[in-house]
Amino acid sequence: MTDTVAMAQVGTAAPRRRRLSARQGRWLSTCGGLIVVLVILAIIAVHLWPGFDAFTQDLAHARLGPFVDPKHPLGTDVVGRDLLSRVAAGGQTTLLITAAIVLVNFVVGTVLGLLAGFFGGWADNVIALVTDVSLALPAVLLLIALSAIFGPSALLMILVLGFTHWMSFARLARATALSLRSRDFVMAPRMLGASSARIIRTHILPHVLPQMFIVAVTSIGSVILLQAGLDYLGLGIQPPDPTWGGLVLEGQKYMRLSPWQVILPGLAIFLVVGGTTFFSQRFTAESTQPLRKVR
Amino acid sequence: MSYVIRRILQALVTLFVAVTIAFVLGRMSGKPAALILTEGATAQQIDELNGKLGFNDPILGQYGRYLAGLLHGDFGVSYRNPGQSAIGIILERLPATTTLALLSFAIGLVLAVVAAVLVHITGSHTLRALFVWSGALRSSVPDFFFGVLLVLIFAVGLGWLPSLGYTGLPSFVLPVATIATAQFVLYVRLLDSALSEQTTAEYVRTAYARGKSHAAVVATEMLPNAFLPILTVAGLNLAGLLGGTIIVEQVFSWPGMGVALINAVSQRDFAVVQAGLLVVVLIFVVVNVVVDLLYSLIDPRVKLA
Amino acid sequence: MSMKTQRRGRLMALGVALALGSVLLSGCMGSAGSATSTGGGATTAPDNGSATLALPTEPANIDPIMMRSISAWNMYYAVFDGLTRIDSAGKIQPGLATEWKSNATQDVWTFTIRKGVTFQDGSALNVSDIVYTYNKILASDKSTNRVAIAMISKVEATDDHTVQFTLKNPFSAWLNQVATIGIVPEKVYEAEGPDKFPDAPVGSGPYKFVSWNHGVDYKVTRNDDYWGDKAKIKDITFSFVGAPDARVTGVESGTLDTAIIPASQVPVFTGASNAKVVEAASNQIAFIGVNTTAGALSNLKVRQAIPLAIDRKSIIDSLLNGYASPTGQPVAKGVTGYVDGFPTPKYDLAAAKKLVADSGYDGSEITLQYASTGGSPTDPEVAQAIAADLGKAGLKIKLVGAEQSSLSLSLANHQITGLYLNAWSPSSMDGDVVVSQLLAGGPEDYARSPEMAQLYLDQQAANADKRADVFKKIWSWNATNVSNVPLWQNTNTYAAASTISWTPAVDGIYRAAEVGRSAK
Repeated sequence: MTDTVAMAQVGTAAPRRRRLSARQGRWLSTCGGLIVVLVILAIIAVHLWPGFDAFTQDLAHARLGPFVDPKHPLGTDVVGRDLLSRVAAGGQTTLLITAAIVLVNFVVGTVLGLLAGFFGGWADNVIALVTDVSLALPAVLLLIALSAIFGPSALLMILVLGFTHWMSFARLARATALSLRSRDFVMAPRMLGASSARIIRTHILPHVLPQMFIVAVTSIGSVILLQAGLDYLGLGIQPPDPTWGGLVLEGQKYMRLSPWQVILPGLAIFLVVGGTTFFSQRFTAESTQPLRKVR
Repeated sequence: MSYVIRRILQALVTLFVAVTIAFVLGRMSGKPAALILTEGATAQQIDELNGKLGFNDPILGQYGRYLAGLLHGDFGVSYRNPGQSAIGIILERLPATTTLALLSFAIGLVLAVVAAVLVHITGSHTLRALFVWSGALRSSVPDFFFGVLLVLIFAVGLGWLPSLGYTGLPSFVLPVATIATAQFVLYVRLLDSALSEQTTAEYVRTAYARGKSHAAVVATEMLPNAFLPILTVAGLNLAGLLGGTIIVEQVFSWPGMGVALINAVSQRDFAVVQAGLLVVVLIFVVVNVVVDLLYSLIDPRVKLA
Repeated sequence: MSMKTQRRGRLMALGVALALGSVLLSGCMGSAGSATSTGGGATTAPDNGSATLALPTEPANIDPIMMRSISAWNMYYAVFDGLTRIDSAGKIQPGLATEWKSNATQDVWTFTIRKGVTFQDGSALNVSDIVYTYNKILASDKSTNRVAIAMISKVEATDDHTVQFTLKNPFSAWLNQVATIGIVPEKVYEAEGPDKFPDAPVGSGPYKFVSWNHGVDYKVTRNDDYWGDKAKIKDITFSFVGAPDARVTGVESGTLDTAIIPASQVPVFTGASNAKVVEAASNQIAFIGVNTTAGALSNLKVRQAIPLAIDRKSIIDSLLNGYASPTGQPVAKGVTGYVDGFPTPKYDLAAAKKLVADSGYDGSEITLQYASTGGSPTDPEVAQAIAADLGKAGLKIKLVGAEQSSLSLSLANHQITGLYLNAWSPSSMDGDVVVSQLLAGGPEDYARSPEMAQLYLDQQAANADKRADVFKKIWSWNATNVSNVPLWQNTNTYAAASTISWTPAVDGIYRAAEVGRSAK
């Protein structure tokens, strides 16, 4: 077992495998993105369908199964509301709230990260402290406590989650700002007396933004899961307005008797989260080194 | 040394902020006398009790007393059960939550290590794909949904396991499985990636050159180095777990801190809520400090000055 | 070995140690968790076995002096005795008192106390303990029992076996009230105090306290020296299981022996081999409470539309699987105050719409508060169905969900902003408390009508025959003024192991001593 023999093995056996897994990876990632787009298109389509109605109850036709009644393609829930409409409406709400949360994370994280990286010094220390504290605060508990005081609402959820999950954005923004601030194209305008704000805006931001978008996309899955969990605990948007997590909570009680009521929103969550996860794998810097075979 | 001091100072500031937030939350929720007294109490009686308990004093005075009390380990008395200390109620439930969190963490991590090492020893792309795929599937399912599915299959369908928690060893299986699978998914990906990064390192080739078998190289040379970057993530994760098993606790009626806190909040027992918040943050901060210090001790590349 | 390998070796060891440490640590803590015997399977003689009874909520405190709650009564009825006893059918039976009488105006009550009763620690139960218990409650600011016996002017032992209560006003339901107060030993309670007594209680009841694992369960074992009928099963565990699904799967998997389940889950047990469904009439009435002073609700016609707009039958059939019967009065059959034949409002959407139109309703939002968790499991769906029904009649309803304790707090603090969905099961089996709480001056009465206040006093002073007439007047007043909209009388549905033999009580509280096991 010499070095050269080992290298030769790696050299000859691996290449075909390596190409295959890389292409596989890209294919999966595209598939993931496609699924998410399809779900969004489906949500829009259902909203335009004439039978769309997420609120009208019909106790006489409650708990119908899917494909039984043409008026209710996916069945009805325990008070007779159309499930297809509810899942679609819930999707709209859940995805919009997710977008809002990610947006707040994005803005807060990017701003704080840029400030910390560009200015360094005490700004960096203060922001590091803020980061530490935010990491330590249990967002779920805060939301529960605040909901008990102010009443549960979507706004509260967006604010609390928005201000407790920005750290991954900040970390990357800071690192980028840090590495860029000593580069020529940044140092030059500085020496010429350009204001920091201008420098950040014109020279650093363009480099940071693409990476922030990647972080945003990567975080969508976990935000949806977190939000669904909080809806499941009864926080956030209240019935009868549907959200995916809320629909799972409603449906769970009847899981034994009409399982589709809980499976449909659960499946929707699964598809969107899975889709964005696979899609964002394309961007995550994961090693795709070939594996070494045992001889 | 100054790194250590800095780290500890950081931790103290975090704690201080959390303590203040807990205080603010508690005061925002109102004065407790109306809850303690029964229906039919007059407004005057309510005011009197509030005064006796110190809630009519100026806010800074209350804050000062609150902080002083904390330093003595006095977290106040539960509003709902004046016979029990607020911290007592939390600590009573702590073992249930920590057992769940630690057990799930350990099992998930150990299995992830075994899995990642296996992938690299055998060099099997199929095995890696299997773990990546099943991992992606598991991480796309919300924890509460996964837990409910487990109950349906194993407790109700097959009748092998109990559906409720904390009544003996078999009742641990499903809740632990719910969390441990999520942990496993997280660590197996990280370890696989970390091990991959080690493959091209100098010392690896040297080890092969010295005649070590592939398996030995992976297990004894690469693994320890791959473990290092995992340590910080694991620390953050474990710390978060210890405070955050609330959803799984709901699914299995697990008598842990999460459920106690939800009950305390809805009963407006903010003395207990405050105590709970503090405990959760304290655990988080302590675990992280310990992990960071360990890390700096072990990795010579981290500057201690 | 090289420095690098040494460090790496140390790191490996550390990693392994961490992992092992976690497992060991959790193992140590794990063993601190209690193991419950599930009571399933064959037992030699049913009498010496065990059973696990599920409770949907854990009481905040289990102290018969300080805490009054439906949940806590499950434990009180096992460990303590009252002067009288309410049996499963809701009738008054002798307890610590063998006989009783009241004066003509029903404000002086005299009880003859049984001889030879001992507490579970061996000490004798004396009349002084009875007097002590009542006085202690009256003296405790924070006791939730105080309001229930606040009408006591004086309680004294007139001799070694007689206790006499002098009340501030006539109170015909006193026998029911004393049944809900458990007697504690003066010596023990004074020594332990309210801080320690709940975790080491001593009573005179059919079961002795074993342990209270907070948040998990409360265990008791048979008191073989009990003065009355000995308990059937030796060891009872009250298990606190908040989630209704967990109770359902608990009985299915054998972890629980009995549990109250939502009516909607009854079909789960059709065809089950190891479990059965037990239904029992309940003293629980579901109703919509009304804040008659809030916004649009202050308009009488708007309020009158509500009982007509709700399709009780549809809701009962599809959401409750038929396990309820519509009603027009806020007390159930079997509770004193129930009037046979009192009319139930008919579902009449057209009439409701007309009332709303005629009322001049301006379209302003009316809130409907309900318990999203912690209350009856079907409340969220029922609330939504009712909101939809009222919407059809032209009223704009906003649903506001909260945890049951939050809702109870709002109720107690007189802070309801519109309508609310709730249920009431008076454990005293008497309509007096229902009237006072909901209609005549209590926290849930927003109308504060002087007419009703007078009717309430009349009811309290009336003797048995006349009381029925007064109650009828009270329900009629409510039907016209709509201060409260009774919906239906619930039937409690339980899941139980097939080997359990037991008749659930009307008030939904376990009489643990009467739960038994049959051979199969």
